[in-house]
Amino acid sequence: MTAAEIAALIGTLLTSAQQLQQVAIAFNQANVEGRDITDAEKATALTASQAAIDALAATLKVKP
Amino acid sequence: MKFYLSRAALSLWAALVITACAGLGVPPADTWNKKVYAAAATITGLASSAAQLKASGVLSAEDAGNLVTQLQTAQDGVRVADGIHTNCVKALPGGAASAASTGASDPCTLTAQNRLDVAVTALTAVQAYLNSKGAKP
Repeated sequence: MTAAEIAALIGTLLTSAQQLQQVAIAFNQANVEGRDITDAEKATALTASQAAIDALAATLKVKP
Repeated sequence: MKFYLSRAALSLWAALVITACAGLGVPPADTWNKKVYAAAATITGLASSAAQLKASGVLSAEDAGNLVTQLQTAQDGVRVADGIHTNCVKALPGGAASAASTGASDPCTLTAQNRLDVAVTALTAVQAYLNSKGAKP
């Protein structure tokens, strides 16, 4: 396994962990406050996911 | 100069990270908004992982392009499912029930669930593909 492949693997592991942590924090926060995820939080997550797709597409210079 | 690390050591390290993730204890997505939120976060994570794999040369441009298409399809599916749910809630008698306050077994969730399931299935396939390229959940 090359250094580049190791770096990619570490990066993807950290990315997955960060996303999981973000979900856990949001859910726990909502539970502590006795509420659901708000429509605004949901919309923000959907905006972020679209931005991530656009960023991936930009590296390829293709239209998503 | 290439740097090599034994696969055994890397596997051990990956196992530790995955165990740590499981230890985060993500509460179950027991409402519609939590389901959509989790799906969106999954898309974000997969797109970011794919970008990293592409940047490091693990993914070809063609593979990454296919992933863009699949992720966008999933994203659109999640939005459509959420739209169906929102419209359903608005049409409920009394209409005042917020989409955010509906539980997993409410009629609107049951109506929109199939659409969301299709998107989640697509995301699972993307995750499996990235796993085969070196990414781990």
